[in-house]
Amino acid sequence: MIIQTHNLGKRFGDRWAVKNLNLTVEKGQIFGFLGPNGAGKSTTIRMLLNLIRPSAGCFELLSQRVGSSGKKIYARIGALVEKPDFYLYLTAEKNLEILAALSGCNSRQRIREVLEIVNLQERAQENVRNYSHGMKQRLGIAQALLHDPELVILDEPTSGLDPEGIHEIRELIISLASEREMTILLSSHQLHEVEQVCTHMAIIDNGSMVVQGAVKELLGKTDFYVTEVRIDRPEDAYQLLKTEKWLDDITLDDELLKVHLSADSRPLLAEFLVRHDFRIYSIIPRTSLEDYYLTLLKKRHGR
Amino acid sequence: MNQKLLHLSLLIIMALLLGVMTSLESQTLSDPVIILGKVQAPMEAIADYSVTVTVSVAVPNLRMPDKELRLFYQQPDKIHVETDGFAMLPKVGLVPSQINQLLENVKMTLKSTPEQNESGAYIINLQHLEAPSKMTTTIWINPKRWTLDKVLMNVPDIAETVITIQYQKFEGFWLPEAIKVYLNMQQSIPAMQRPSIEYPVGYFGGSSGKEPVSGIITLDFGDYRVNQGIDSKIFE
Amino acid sequence: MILLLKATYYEILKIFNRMRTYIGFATVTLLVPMIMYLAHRFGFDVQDQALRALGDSVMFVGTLVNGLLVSYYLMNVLWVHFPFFIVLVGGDIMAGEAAAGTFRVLMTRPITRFQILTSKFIATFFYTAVIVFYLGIVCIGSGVMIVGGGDLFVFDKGILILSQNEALFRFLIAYGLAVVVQMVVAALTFFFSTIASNGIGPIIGTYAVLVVSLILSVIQIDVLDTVRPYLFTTYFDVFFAPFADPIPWREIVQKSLCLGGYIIGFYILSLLVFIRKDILS
Repeated sequence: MIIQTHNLGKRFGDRWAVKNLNLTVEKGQIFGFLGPNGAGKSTTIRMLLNLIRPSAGCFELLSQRVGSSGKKIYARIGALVEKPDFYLYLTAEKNLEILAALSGCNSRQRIREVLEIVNLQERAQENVRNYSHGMKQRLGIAQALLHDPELVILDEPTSGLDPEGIHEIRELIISLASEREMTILLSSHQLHEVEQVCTHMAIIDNGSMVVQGAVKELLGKTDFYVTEVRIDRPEDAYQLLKTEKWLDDITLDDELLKVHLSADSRPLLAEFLVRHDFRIYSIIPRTSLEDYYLTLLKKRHGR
Repeated sequence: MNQKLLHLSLLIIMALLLGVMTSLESQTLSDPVIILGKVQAPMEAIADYSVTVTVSVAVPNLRMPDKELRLFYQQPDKIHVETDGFAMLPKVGLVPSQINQLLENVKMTLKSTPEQNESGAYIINLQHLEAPSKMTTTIWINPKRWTLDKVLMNVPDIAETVITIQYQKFEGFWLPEAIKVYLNMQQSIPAMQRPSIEYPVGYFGGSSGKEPVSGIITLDFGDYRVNQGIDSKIFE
Repeated sequence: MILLLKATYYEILKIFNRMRTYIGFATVTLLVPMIMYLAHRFGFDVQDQALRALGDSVMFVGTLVNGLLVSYYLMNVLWVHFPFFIVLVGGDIMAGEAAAGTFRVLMTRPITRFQILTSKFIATFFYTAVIVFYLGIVCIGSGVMIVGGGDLFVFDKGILILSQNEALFRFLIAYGLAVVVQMVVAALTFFFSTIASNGIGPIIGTYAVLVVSLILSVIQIDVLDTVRPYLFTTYFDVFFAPFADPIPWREIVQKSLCLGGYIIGFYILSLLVFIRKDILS
């Protein structure tokens, strides 16, 4: 087990930011960590990285109970937490040199390697002060990979990157897992990104675990399919359908009806449309992480 | 007989000569100017000299390390002192020309002749006419070697300074071997305290200096080099 | 231990890569020679005032107004003015990282909070020692070059004149003790820096405590007698102690131990705060 939390909790005053969290990440997984703002993702990551002290529970990293092993375990973990911050008055190379020294590796060769990985080798001698946000983000990933860790924790790693940069980072994450057998915990707001990259995921809300498992398995649950319907007179259909009790939700988006309903109810939808003389161009059941996520949270909040 | 008479006559003549000579030698002088002239006369032969002086100061509320300095003197009144810092020297007795300064604008009176005092010296009073503080100086002249052996400077209500000078004969000249300056001040140096948290820039208080104090400055002279020529540039 | 040494090295490197570090050095480099020049050009009459009582009997050879004397007087900047350069750097050493978010990056490394804090504390000590001795070197160096060398004239139960070599030895001890004094300021600002999240708070906080403590130490009111021994500023005058004769070693050791106690105290407080601190920024 790479990450295992046991009823992990963190309380700020009277409010539990994270409560009874049992997160399990296994070796080789690219683990997406999802949740709305304030759900407790960052608090969980900070606890895992020893930035804040848990109020309850405990956790293991790389099969070692953190606390009893001191901080040595962090020599095997790389992390990028929230926005990447560096010593602006130092060069990128010097920043990496400091972090490498504190990680127990001090190879200039490795510093050059990671700078090449994130495509910053040309500007390694520049003060970080002159870097754009995207460049800092890439340097943040470079520092996380510096000591060739077994577990990489990335918090919003593609934030601020241009499309090309986002693509490069995604490719990098996949290659780190497949080629270097690194385990990656990826916290992101970009559901599309998680869907594309992650093998496993967890969703937390209000500090509690909502669901966790393999991405394919979770998205395979038909309850969370959205049925996209293209018909004539979509506005009329929308007005009729929205009062029906057998569907969960319906939205009209640019003449496309998105109907949230269980797979069992799908034939009812077709019958209903035919009965009301609508011309059906297509009825396509689709699923996406976004739909899954939003549906799950809506259900949870009773909306 | 004649021979005996001759010897007796010679003896009487010699005795008379000796008596006259002795009488001439021990003749008591009464003019201070002549006395002081006798002090200065041998010094005329000294064109220049240099000497190493070690100065020790023992004055209450004043502590300083012994100071070695090199004193250069050239006729008539040029003095140059080389030292690696700060030193204090007596105003009188250090070099021959200093006596000249004493005699400027003074009214001299012979206070006592060698026969009249225990010290066996001529004692001359100098009344400084221009000194605002009614300063008086008394000097003791040794009639045997015509040297200034002691000076007493008195500034009423301020200070009394006694300077005693010991001499050594060097290359035929009586030159100072040691000088002691006895200071008797009506006002002492205040016992100023080092800076402290109460007085961060130094405390100028302590004893206010009202009580009289005494102190001694000692000068030891050595390594005289007389009439060896000194480049006058160093006096500029 | 090796990690601590490495961390300390990089903390020192960080300090000396920052512009604000050089504000103190630049100020000392510019101001001290200027003061020396003004002292040389216009002098000051401390010698005549102090030795007036002897003036009728003796003549003074040479002068006591020299570079060492001006350097001695310039040590008065160590009370209030010079600590600004200490808090300017020391106040930012922890809070600056918190504000910049770099703690997050540092703490994901296999280095303990104890090691991080201790390395920063040692680096602060190093900076303090360097800038204090730099002040000493510039004062004495420019003083001797511009005003001239010679004996040092100080007040200690009256007037004490120290030979140049003796004075230089005393200055060495004095500046060593000034490091201890300034380190108390550094440790205080370090503590404030640990609890603050920006670099301004520790500067203002340290100065407020320093000035109030100095005032309480200086004001001679009986009521304050009970308070005074507990104020670290009460022991600040230790850097003038080497200019006494004989050197009051017992007093120096006692005051240094008191100041050392404050340094260790502020360090332990900082450690307690930092070890329990949640890095939220």
